[in-house]
Amino acid sequence: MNRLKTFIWIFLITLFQSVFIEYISISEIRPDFIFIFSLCIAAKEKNIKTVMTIAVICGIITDCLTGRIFGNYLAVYLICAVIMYIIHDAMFKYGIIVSYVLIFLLTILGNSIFYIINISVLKDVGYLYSLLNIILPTAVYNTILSVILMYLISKTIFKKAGVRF
Amino acid sequence: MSFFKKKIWLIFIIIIAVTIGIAYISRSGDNPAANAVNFVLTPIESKLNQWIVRPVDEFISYIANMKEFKEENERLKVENQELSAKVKDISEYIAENDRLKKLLEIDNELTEYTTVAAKVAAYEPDNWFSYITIDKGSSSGIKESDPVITAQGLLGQVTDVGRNWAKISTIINSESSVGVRITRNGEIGILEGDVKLSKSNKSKLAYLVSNASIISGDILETSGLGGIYPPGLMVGKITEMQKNNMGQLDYAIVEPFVDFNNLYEVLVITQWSLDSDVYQDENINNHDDYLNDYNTENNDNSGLEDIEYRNDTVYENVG
Repeated sequence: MNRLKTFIWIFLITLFQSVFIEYISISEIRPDFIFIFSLCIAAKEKNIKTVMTIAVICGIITDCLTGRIFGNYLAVYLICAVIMYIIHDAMFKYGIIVSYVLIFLLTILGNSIFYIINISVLKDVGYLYSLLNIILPTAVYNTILSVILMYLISKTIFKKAGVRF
Repeated sequence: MSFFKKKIWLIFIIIIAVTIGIAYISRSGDNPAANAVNFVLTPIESKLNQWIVRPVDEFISYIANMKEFKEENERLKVENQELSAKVKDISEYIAENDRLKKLLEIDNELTEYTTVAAKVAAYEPDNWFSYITIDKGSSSGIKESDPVITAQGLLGQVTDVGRNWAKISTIINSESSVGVRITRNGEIGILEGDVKLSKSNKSKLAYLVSNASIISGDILETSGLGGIYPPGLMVGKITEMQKNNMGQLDYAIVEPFVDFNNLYEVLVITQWSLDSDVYQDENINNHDDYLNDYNTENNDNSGLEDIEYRNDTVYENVG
């Protein structure tokens, strides 16, 4: 894994997430590129320490961008990245489709954790409404974009290193 | 499982525990990490918006609306001729109005603002809240709680400030609340953000008096209660009314005047004062005085007292 390329990726994805996100949102549903990136790294990287480091960096950046309670996204990203690593480690023999299914499921898990921590206590918005109108569409959008992102990451960051698939 | 064999799970648990601890004692805007990230990113985001996003967006809009522009141009030419004729009459009315005001010694309720213009640099990256980052901060005199407007009306309020950036909570944000009044009859309420409505760039008007008289199309402006937002800023119009199970008005859905999909420049009101006999205080921090003044001015002792009675703390946290 090329560290320099990884950090350039993080920098570019952060800019993309904050500047262009409004223009690629569909029905006000915005994909989370930084989250997808950390999960893609978790799927491809062999070293758990690297996976955790990237997840922590990505989580901190999103926390800084959102400007609310610090640590929300850090916890969510880290938990999801580690789950991705563990399950992917055990199931990678089933092929790359596992990565996309996991990104879909972990987006649901990550958003659900965020909902429980932040939304459920603040406003009268039911989980079912949030699941159907925000979490599931985001999960679908994230999964579709992860196909492109996974390909680009494979061709850049993991070009020379061994790929786990 | 290599993850458990390597016992790195201990580090994992420690990081999560520390994170949860930090989450409960800090806010992002106050910590050095957030300041550093936004300090570096905001100028780049602002330039990207200026050089790439806006030109592309405007070009696409231009192409998509070319036919409409031609039609609008023809319509505006006709309208221009009609308006030119009316301007002459209006000028006479203005002169007459000034003469009558002087005669009656009545001052206008004028609000004076000191503003800072800023460009939108970045948007909220998640799906739950509606925040915007601008490219000016404390070095330009922007402070927390400063109201933010656009040419169309009220946009929101500054919630976090760094040296060269500031975060704005928009009026459709689910954490936002703004004291408003209906321009038609002066009835007041609170405009609240809502997660569901924010998906369609709308918000809701709540805490209305039980016999509130509102109709679809009513225009809302800031009431000035709470002292955060100056009174008289255009907010939005009522598009729909929602009733509760008893058939009484629960809340109204409001469509803000601000076009949230085309935000480029904003004005941050860093200082404001009221130049009026009715509002002698520079800031209306004492809402009791304001309520008395308001009721006296409108010869009405019911509306505002009703709301105050129903929820005495309503005005503590709203603009």
